[in-house]
Amino acid sequence: MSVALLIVDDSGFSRKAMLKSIPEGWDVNITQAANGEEALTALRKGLGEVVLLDLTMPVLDGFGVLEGIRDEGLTAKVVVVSADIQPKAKFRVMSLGALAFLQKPFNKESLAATLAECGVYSED
Amino acid sequence: MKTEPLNEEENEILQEVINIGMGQAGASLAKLLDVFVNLSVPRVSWVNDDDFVVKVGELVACSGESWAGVRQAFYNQLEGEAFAIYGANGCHQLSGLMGYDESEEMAQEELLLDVTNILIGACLMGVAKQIGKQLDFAAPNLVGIDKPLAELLYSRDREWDQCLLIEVNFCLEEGDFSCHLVMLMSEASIGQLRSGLIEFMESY
Repeated sequence: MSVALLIVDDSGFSRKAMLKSIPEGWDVNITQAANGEEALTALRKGLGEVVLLDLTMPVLDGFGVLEGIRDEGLTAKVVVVSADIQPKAKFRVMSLGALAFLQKPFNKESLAATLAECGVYSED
Repeated sequence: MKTEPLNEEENEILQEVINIGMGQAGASLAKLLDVFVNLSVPRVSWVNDDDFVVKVGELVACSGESWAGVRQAFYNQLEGEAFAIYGANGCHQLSGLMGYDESEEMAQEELLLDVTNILIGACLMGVAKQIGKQLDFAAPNLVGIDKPLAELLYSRDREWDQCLLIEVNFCLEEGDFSCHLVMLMSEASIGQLRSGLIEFMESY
């Protein structure tokens, strides 16, 4: 059965880059969101079993999305993909329940490796 | 010949590239001050020399207050000048975080120069590296402390007919410190910038 994958980033370019970097052969059903509010709306509809989440966004940022997931008791496996490389940013998202932190710029290999580490995708 | 402004797609790629540079600059600042830095969504626009001060005023959105400004020129494949604009209270907080005595005026000036060098260097080097372009920096110089914004911005190296205006800002979670980085890239650099952005896009 295909996995509901939610891609959250305010940059259209960045969403495209993520789409292009998704491992080939991974059976996913993709939804996109351009800010945190849109992401939570999609999550409430069950459209994000796995989430690729940017942090710095207008309206509601990625930290806000993680708090929303926690407060509303939503279930989602979140991989944060961000250019905010402060150690404290990573620490915060992990404390808020993210499974991994992938630094931008990423590539196909680093994305596949991160997804595999989280156990949401297997390379074989 | 008139340079075509960046199209929508190029703008988007530039914003993402700046986002990465800003992330590196924010991390450097966080490390220096041992604080958490909130980052902004980068803003990019195309301005004429005439509307530059007005435009920056809108971005900084607090005219009438007093500011400290440091300017730093950059050159090579990309050229232009960058300003770091600090709110007056932020300067005091900065001195405090670094354990400086506020009465030491020289120390405060040096601190602003150092912090600016770190922020502008990390941000623009981050951009240049992503798009494979060479970049060098002149030494930063202090334009003024406790001055209105317009006064800081009028002291530019040269006039630009048209240029690309990039703004990012950093603020600390606690306290009043905020810093706006305003970067002006010359019309002559746009060709290099564009080729670099397209190459970056094609790497995906």
